[in-house]
Amino acid sequence: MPTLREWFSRLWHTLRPSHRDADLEDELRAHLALAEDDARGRGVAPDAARRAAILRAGPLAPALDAMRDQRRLPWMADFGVDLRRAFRTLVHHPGFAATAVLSLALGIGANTAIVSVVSGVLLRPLPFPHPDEIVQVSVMNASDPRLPAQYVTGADLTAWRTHARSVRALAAFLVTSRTLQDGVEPERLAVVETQAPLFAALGTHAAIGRTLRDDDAPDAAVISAGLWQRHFSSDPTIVGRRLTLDGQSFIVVGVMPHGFQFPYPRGASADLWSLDNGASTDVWVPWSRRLSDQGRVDSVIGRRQHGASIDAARVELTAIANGLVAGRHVNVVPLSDVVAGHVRLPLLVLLGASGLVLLTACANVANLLLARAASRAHETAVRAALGASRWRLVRQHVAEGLLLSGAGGVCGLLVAVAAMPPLVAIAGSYLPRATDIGLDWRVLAVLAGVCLAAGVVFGVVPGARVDLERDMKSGERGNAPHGRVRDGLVVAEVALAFALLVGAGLLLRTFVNLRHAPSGFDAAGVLTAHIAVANADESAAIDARVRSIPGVQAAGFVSLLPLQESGWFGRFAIDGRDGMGSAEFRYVTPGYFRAMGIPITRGRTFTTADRADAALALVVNDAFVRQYLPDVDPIGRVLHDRGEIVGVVGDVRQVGLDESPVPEIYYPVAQNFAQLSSVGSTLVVRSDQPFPWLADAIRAAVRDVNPHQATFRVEPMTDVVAASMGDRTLYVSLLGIFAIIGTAVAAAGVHAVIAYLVATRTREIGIRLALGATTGDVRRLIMRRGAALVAVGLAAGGVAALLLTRFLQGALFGVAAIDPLTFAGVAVLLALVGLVASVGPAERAARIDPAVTMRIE
Amino acid sequence: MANAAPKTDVLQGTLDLMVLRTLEALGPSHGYTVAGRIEQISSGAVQLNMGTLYPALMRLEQRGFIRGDWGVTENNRRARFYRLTAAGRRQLAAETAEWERMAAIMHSLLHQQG
Repeated sequence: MPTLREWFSRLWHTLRPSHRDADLEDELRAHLALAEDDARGRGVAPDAARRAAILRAGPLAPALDAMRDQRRLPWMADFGVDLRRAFRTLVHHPGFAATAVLSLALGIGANTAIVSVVSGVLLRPLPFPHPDEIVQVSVMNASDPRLPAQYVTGADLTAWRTHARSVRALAAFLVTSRTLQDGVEPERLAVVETQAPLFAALGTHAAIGRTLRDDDAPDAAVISAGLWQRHFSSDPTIVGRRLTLDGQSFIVVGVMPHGFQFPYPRGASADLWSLDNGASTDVWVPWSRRLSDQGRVDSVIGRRQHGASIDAARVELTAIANGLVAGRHVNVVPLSDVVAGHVRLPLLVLLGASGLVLLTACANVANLLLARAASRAHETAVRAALGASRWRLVRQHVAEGLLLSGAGGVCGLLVAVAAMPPLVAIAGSYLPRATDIGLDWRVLAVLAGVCLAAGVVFGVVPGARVDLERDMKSGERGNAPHGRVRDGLVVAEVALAFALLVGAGLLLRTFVNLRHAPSGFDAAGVLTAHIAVANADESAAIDARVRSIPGVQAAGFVSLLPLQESGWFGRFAIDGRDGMGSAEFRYVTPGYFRAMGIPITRGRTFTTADRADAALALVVNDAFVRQYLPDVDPIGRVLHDRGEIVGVVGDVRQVGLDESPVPEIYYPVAQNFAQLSSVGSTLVVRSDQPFPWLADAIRAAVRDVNPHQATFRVEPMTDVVAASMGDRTLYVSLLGIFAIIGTAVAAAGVHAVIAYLVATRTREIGIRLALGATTGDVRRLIMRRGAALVAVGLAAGGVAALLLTRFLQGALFGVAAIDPLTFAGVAVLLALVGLVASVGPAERAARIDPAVTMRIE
Repeated sequence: MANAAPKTDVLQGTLDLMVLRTLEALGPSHGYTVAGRIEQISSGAVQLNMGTLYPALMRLEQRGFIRGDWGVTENNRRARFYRLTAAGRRQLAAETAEWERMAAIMHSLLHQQG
């Protein structure tokens, strides 16, 4: 066995290329001389003695070679030579090298960026011990999953805690937002009401003090490290200090460690609470409301016991819940799915798309290398004939391939490093765990693997196809060997670009459809502002004061703006009918419908007469009427214990522009203030005034009514609409960029192959011209070739797109995955690109001078 | 890579052992002396040409078993003289023992009664 020492010695000699081997030759010559001396000593004549010496000791040259090989690592030394030669070759062909490196840099850069995002958002485990055991539990209506979900009740939770063996540490939690009023400026914070087992479920201890306990007083609070730093100046004696949230005083019992987040913001919904500190929760306080058996529990978290599967947990919890109220279905979802499940599909689609871009780039580079190999086929054949082994020839190609892919990888990494900060900045608002995005070992491993694989493939494909006999016979350089492979690669490039463009096109059409989807309201001229009103009188006062601002046409409060996720829903019964229904609840002041531009279709809206002491009034939407009262006049119908329907308004897309309107019940704030205060409230103002001026006027109006009242997040309704489509904007932009890169690379590929065709057929074209072909004939000849390649590519791309677009299905709106218009449009676009790419070489062919080409030989 | 004949491994191990043992017997010697001695001891059965001998010497030197220094022969020619190092002596002892064990096994196998 070669020892480590031997390897080091050989490596050392390999890396000292200047080292001469004169000493080796000296030694061998000494050996021969000694043999010769011996022979002469036996009386042999000088000439014969020398021959005898060589006969006995063997020839010098092979021995010297054997020693050289033993002295270093010959393959490594040779590969160094190969690399240097490859480098010189590439430097001498800057256009070729630049095209190849640029394609690879774009492909690898796009991949690195997306893999970083996927790695951070989807792959990196959540920062809790055994994060796969943490589950979120909810209850769904088994009979009709389209109805708004049923909820977990206090009775369910109690029963699960008592009987369930598969899940422990079950805790209810509710995300709210409250205003921290101790500081100079009021600060809006995410506050989670929860129960003590939450921290056991997450497996995280407090960094200072302790987490919540079952017997904690209602004013205990655990705060985040961030809040501890910025609000309490990292006070080490924090435990026992007080903080005031919405006028209520809390005592800090502990501080969570840095990086602790729960719940994880899901991205866009972070806007919902109009928080000042991004979307991270800063305070955890004990569950405040009495948890009655029928009371609603918003969200439940727990930890699976070791060895209990998700399915087992689901079956067990369902059985327990149905023991209380039948017909329900318990959903147990890993926390990682809750956090990032909704972005899995779009991210995987983007990952796939960036993979296609990389494939296109690789196909292009392989093509360029094949073309170069073809033009050097004669040289290669001569080297083979002179004794270069096939391995040796392949190695030269591999060196070139690795050099290109290495350079592409480095440039790609630079592209990714440059692209990441803006990508994360934009994606951060729409992606969960954006702070976890970064270049990590996974990304670098993928990057290195891609480069290595691409480089080797680039080298092996052209290198392995040396046909000695044929290449030697061809005197002319390059009689287009492996033309089929090259054509195939171009076809593949066009096909991949087709698939990318179709994907981007479908998403773009979805985007446009959504922009024009009937939202049910009129966002133009509407400004929104979040104000946590203290009571119904205050909301009415602000309402009135804002309406008196010049230019304001209408103003009103609503609990949740349309398109802001997270509904507030409940069950109801219609007097005189059987069964229960379920609908979204919103709480509004009388001016809301006019301010938002929601049409009244029947009856009336709320008025100031719908006071707390008046009869309970309700307004429902068209979808409610369609679903629950299709056959009668809804006006005057009474919802049990809730009030009388006084009016019907148009449907509003509340959840998202791509979601069908759901049944809704609007309550007047004046009669239901308690509900409004727990959901939040947003002022909606319609006016013809410029927004900056209006925003100031609204703030002034709010201060007039209550100097301590803060106005958060003043933004035009059109921005709210845009934000609701923000993730789509991001996805469609990225896919669009990928499609453009892919198309550009494919165009470069078509151009390269046609240009190469012209270069290798110069003589033939010259002869054609000499024999009377017109320049038009030549142009057509070349263009026809380009058109044929593109046509086959389009056909292949069509098939690929048919197979791939189904993965987009879930992301589309108003357009089929197999949309003829998109497919046709993309085909036309790519055909044009292909033609444009062949025009240059065709022109060059048409300008060939027959007299010159005939003389070349 | 070296064009390795199938028997090279066996031969190589044997050759290394021969060279080490010869150097132990002769003391510091140059390659020609080593080759001549092996040829003589084997009654001409083993003739080492330079292409076999010198890479072996270099390999042994790379592994630290022998060490070569330039010197002058009795008839005044410059040559490299190789001598065993301490590691070389240990290696020789180990390989000799291994070789004898193997030879004994082969002997038993080949002469077994059956």
